[in-house]
Amino acid sequence: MAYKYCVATNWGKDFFTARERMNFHLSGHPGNVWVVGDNLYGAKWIKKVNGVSKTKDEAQAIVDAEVLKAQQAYDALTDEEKLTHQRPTNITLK
Amino acid sequence: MAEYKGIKGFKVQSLDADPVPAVAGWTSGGNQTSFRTMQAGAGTQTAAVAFGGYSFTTSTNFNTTEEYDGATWTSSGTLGTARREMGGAGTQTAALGFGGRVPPDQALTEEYNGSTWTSGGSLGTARAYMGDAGTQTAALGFGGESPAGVLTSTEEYDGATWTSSGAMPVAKYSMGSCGTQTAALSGGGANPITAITMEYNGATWTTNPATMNSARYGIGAAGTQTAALFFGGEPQPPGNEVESWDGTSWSNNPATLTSSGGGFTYGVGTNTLALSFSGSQGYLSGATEEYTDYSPYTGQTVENVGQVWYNTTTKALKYTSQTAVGTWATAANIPSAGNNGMGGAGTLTAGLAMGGYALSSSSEYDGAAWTAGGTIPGTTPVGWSGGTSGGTQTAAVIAGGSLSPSSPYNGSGTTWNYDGSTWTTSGSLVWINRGMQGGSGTQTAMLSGTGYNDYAPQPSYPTNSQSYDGSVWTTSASLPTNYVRYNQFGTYSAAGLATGSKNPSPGSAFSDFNTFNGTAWTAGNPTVSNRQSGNGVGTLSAATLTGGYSDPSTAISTMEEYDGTSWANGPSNIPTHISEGGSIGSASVSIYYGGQTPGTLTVQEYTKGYVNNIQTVTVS
Repeated sequence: MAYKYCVATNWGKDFFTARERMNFHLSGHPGNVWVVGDNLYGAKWIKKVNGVSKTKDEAQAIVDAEVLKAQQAYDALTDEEKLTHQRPTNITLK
Repeated sequence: MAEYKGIKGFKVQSLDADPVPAVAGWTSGGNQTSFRTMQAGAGTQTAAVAFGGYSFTTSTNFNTTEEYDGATWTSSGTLGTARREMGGAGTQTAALGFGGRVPPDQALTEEYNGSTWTSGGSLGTARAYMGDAGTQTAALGFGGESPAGVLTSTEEYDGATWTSSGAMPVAKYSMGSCGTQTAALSGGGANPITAITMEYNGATWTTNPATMNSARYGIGAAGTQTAALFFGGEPQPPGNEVESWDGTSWSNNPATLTSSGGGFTYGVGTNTLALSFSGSQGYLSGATEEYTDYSPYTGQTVENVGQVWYNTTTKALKYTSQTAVGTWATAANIPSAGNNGMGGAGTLTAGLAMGGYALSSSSEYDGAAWTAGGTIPGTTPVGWSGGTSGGTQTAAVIAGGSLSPSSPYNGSGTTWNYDGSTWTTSGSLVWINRGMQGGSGTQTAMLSGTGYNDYAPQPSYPTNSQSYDGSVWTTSASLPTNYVRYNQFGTYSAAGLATGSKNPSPGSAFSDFNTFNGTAWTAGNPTVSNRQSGNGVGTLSAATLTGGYSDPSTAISTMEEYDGTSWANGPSNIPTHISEGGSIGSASVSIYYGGQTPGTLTVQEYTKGYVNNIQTVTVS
């Protein structure tokens, strides 16, 4: 399956719908990065949300930067705080 | 009286409710106003309350309470003590928050009345990350973490006091949980991370041998002991998995979360109407998601076109019909002016538009945006227009056409191949053509119908078509007459050539339709309208014609559809009339551009869909 990549801010209700998701792959990632199934429905969704198209490398770089910030925030926690959740893991976009 | 079975051959179902659309999946809900994770909550998908929580980025606890109405979160009265990872139970107007971590871990309980929190009875054991279930006056807290370690103990709340109950078989925290004080369900949890399923009957816990499909913790949950939905959790990524529980076994639900999952997801509602929030994946944006499932296991019947049933509630005989709906939208503007005679190739998500009056440019379309493609060499400044075009975005071909739309026209025999970036010239057409013709097929198997020729001694009105193998054009089968300004679609070996003007009768539009099978042209059923200079897309089994003129001065905005046999008017007309434009796509999805001089950048996009309609049988 091929994918498109875009950046779009989730405005909340009906930003995506169950019916839309039945027609194309969609996953949200840090930095408001969205991986979108590469078909007409996915393309229409990108248009609906005013998504800014990115190459996969550009999208991955945005995610990497966000994850790095989260990892640095985690590393700055006390040992007790670190017990509450995992260190954010790197995300490899589809 | 004859029975329906006797007439139609099958019995009519009796249903107490009309069938519902088949939808199962997650829709984004309103964003929370305060971005945090590790929250607790209570209520339903459309009347929820979320409280407490924690920010990883600021390392702060929240006393925040927010209420959700199915669309929007609004702030409400704050908790007495800011903390995270509480247990939650109850409804939006009668909720219970208990335990949690500041640190230290807390035993305190708070009761919510829909606007304010007041203190309730304290837990016997201070704890956080516990399992929870029940209502404000019949709640259950179990497991979790305490300063002494991971717990197995269970406590029941009666609206005033917590009392000990049977211990869990295995000590766990951050499990998913749901149900009631007398019928609770626990799945997954830590530590170690597990897929264990445990059930509580109001007195004792038992381990169910059916384990979740993936071991995880920090899971959101909704539903009951016998019908539950568990979602999100860690380890992640992706943390968006969803599992359904039917009281006996877990199944992976294909409707995964999109953006609200991850660790510390919290869920409320039922297994068919759930709400996900608080997940670490979405806490920076406050993302929430709503799950809706109308599938048959809810006890409802899913809509199917053609089904007939008797509604025993309304006492009406009903059936489901389907109506085609054509929707038009404005797509992204095409970069170049969009003049008359543009060509098109490829698909809606990998399309190519080229040429047009005075234009030598080409533009690539990905379904959402256009980018500049290669320039057609040798056509500046007159441009290329009105010729044969086809192929794909990375292997297109154009041929013939006009290199000067001003009178007298100068026809072209030139062919250009496109490789996704560069246009290069190829073999010349056999019948040099000044345009007004179309094409169908690929770069290595292209069919060009007739067209107008002004190169003596070749005849002005040739009836033969031409075929192209990627480098050389050869004469192909003849049509009944010479057509110009027609619409050609399909492939090389399954092409349709519809309407247009025909010579010698220039200027008038006709309804002729001919099909090509790779060898010969055959007359088909006529189109609905006499039409020339319209736009045709699709295949010989499903095609559309749009726009054009019925004669040189009468514009047609109708769309007509071909089903492989005959033509009929489609469900909607093109909003802005277009003629001699370009088009890409299929009978169900297509775009239209150009067709104006001076040009327009506007691109019109068509999508065909269907809606189901529940009809009532009436007797007249």
